Amino acid sequence: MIEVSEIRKTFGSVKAVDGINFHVKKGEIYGLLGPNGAGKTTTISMISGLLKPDSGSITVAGIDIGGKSGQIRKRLGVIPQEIALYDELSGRENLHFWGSLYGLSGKKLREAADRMLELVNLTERANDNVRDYSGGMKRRVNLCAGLIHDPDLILLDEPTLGIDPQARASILKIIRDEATSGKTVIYTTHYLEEAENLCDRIAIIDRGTIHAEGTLRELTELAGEEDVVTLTGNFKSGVTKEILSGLRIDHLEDGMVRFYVSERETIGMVLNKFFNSGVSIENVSIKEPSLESVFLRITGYELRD
Amino acid sequence: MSSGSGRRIFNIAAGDVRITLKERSIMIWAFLMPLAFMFFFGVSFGGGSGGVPKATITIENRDSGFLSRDLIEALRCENLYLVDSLGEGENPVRTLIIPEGFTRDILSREKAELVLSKEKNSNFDAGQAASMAVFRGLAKVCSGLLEIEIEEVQRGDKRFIIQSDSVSGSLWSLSGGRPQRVIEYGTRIDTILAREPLITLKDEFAGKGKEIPGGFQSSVPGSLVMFVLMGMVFSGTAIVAERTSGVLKRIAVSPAGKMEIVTGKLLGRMVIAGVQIVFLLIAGRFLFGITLGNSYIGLIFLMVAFAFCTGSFALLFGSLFSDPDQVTGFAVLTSLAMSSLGGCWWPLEVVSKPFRIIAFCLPTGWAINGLHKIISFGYGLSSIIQHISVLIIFGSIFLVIASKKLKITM
Amino acid sequence: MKNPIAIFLMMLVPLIMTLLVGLVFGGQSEQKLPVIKVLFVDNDGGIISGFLKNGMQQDTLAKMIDLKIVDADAGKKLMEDGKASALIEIPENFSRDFFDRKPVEIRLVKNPSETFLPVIVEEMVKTMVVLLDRAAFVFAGPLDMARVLFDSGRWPTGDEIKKILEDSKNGITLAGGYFSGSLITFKTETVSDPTDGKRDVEFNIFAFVIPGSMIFGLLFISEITLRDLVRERGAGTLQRILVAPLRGVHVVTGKVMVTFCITAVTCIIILVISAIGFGVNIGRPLPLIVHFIGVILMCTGLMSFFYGFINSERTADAVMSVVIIIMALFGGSLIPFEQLNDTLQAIGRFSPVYWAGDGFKQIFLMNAGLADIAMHLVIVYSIAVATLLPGGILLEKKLGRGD
Repeated sequence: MIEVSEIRKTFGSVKAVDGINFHVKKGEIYGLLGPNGAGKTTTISMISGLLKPDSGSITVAGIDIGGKSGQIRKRLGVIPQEIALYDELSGRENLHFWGSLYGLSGKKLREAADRMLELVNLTERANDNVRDYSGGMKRRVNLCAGLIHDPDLILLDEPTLGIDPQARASILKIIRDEATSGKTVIYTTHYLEEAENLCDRIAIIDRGTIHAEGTLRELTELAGEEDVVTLTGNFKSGVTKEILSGLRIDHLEDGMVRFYVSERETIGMVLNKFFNSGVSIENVSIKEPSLESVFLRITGYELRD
Repeated sequence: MSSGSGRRIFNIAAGDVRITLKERSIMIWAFLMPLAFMFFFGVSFGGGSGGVPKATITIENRDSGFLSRDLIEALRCENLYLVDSLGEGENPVRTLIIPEGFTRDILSREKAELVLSKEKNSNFDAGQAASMAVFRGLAKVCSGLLEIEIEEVQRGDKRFIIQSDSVSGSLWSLSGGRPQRVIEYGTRIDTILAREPLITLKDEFAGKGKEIPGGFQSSVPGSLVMFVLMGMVFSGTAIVAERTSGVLKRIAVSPAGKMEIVTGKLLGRMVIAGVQIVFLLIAGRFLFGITLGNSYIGLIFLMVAFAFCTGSFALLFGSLFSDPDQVTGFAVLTSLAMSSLGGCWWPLEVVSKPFRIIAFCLPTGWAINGLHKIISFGYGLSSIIQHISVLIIFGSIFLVIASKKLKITM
Repeated sequence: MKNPIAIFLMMLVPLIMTLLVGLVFGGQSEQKLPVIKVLFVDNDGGIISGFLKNGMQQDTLAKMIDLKIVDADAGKKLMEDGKASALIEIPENFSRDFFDRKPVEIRLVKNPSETFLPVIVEEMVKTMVVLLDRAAFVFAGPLDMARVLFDSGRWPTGDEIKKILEDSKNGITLAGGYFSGSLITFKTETVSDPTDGKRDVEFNIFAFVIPGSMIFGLLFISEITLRDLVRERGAGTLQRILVAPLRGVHVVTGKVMVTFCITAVTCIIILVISAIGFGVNIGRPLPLIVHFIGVILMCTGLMSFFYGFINSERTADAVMSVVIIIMALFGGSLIPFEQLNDTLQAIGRFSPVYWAGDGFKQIFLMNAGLADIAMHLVIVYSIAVATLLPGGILLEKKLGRGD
């Protein structure tokens, strides 16, 4: 659906985007995960035609956006980071306005606005001015304004910034549903759990460059991450040390040990050794590697919410 | 321009109009405050009485003779409100004190002093007009008396003669103080004053206007131009706010191109200015009784050109500034400077030549002058072609700079 | 201070207003107008029209009027182009008709786009017409003789001229008493002027303008500062302050005191700039300080009182500016009070702005002392007391209710 090749953008001496490549398939949710200033918004701005890349190309459904940006814009739905709405207008009036810019009019526009308001549970407050909405309600209308014209490609730039978990869950559900119905989604965020839970594929972006890309599993594997195993039981630390020789131990005390394994089969072998030495294990916990640890491994620093 | 493009321009404009008309404070500033200013400035420029406020004079007549009565009658022919001191409360604004024994003193050719007493801070123009009116009234009465004096002197009665260029005696001495004689003088002077004047003044206004322009004829164009300009300049702050909030960016990622955005924003502002202008002109016509001239076509073209010019100026403001506080500040100062120097605060006739030249370096000066050509002089479109052209040139320059400088994002 | 730029701008507004007025009218005395351009079309070319023409080009009138002699067509064109304030047209055979005592009509064409100057010309011409008309009757005899001489088509002899002069002599002598002022004097005087119209200081246009525009700016500054209360209430920061061990009365007192201080500092800055930058004589220290404190208290009090009824910033946006501007319009801040008509002046005396501004005007322009502005002080301080206390209570109640 979208192919981004070697795009670059420099502001003065700052390289905001430095040779980014990726492609997103139809119906896929593609996440751009990175801290503030990583180049996410600049990338979205270039895809939406707001900024022109210094070099490189972006094609949407095979059409180069440099040549026919107007034609492509009709198929894009952009949900910006800011609450880009008219405070003075009601939720419904806002949707009417934004829908009209995409060529909707008359009954079609009214129906689309009503559908959107229902989708985000704002029908009852539709005629209130946006200035009187809560932060979460504003975010939901902000989302609707980008979806009202039923776009093929949805660009979301941190759409859940600063809202409560309930509103966030509602927004993420809508995005997931859109993808399920065949829409292509590019989603920027610096919330790790959002990327983990929502995106089919994730690109870790930092300082204008994509450092890694793939499914969560692929990323963890790519980073050489290990599962974390925690055992509790009636064992002594001395015996345990012997059994776990050759493995990397994170924490060890009488009755509890936490260690790393790179292959799941190793866990079975370790448990066998404990049983054979007459130690009873009360609890086994296996934790897969997280995006957090992957991000840390790849960029060298933690990504905090 | 494709129909899609036209529709988007229309939608952007319509959005701006809707937002503007929903704001309570904008309604007050665009429609109510100009009316207040029109009223105050109009009244202070003479209201509907053609230039000078009609002065009120309270007459305190301490004299019981016929000359004071004749003087009061003469003042009744002037453009004054005359109030009897007996019917007036305390502290009248302006009082004409006719001293006791005024008639007798004049008839005796003895000195009499008339005093026009004015309250501090009373209207200066009305005061001047009142003084002139009293002077004319006195001139009429005294000249009538003079005719009688000349006649009597020519009779050669020694009680009232002229010897070696000096006057000896008087009408009073001729009458010997007999009331019958004094009444006779009174009757004679009444006859003299009742004569039709030989020389009359016919005053009219230049141009083709059919109605008499009053103070509102000046205050309505002035306030209209000032408040339309102010409204437009402040609407530039809305563009900065849209940029700050990301609305402008969102519009820019829609199928609307930059030229469509600029045109839509301009059109929206022109519509708002148009609504404001129509409202204020109608209010001017029916509330303040001004004439709108003989050429509605000329008026429409001029006001469209002015709306285009100020709308473009609003875009320029929105393009040049990025900080909302900054733009508000400059909006205040620019509106003040452009409206005062352009002739919205005071008639340009009272300023020195350099400032009259400065007025014509500003769109406000051209707009006001053009409005006067149409509504005061009653001329048609042809008389304001130059004004329309200048306003369009101003507007085009503003628009070109605005289009080039307009930033969609912060 | 949440909005320093807005406060700075409101401080600039009165200074800019004063500067603009001062620049435009600078160097002129209080009531001086520019020279009035008047066109004179003489279709008569006779002795009387010449007399009028010359009369308007002499002495005082010549300083007021720039008389341009033009023909009828040029005059019409110039008037239609708005190039002159008025046109005086003397009809054909004016002098002859005057001598024949036939009714004649002088035409005055005024510029409809001008407000003041054509009216001044009209008043002058009206007066000239009255004088000329009366002279036609007063000097009827000599004028009849003159007419006969004109009709004869020859130069008058010395005896004939002597006869005319002798016949006129009585009239001139008798009229002289009226013109010289030895018989009737007409004087204009101003009442309730503490300095009896005598100024100790030279007139300065800036000193005339700055008091009104300064009060206008000060009211806005008090308004902007107090607006923080509404803004903080809307943003929730006020509630946060109120959960701290602070009572509403503390918050309100603090805010009102801050408003007083900011308004006072602004006023001092404007006064200093007026004195140094615009050369305004700021008068005697004692009346200035007493009036200054009263005015600042009044501005703070008025705004506190009004804000006692305001619930949101939007309402403040819509209401407060209007209230201030209406007070300023009536009080002579935006249009000189002297320019308002009698009714508006009567209403204007109920505007606090009038008493605050006029007090400063008396101090700046008349060098007024405390006694001279006693009435102003009583009113300004009364308004301050009458508004500060109720205003504070209203604001505190609003905080208590959490409006």
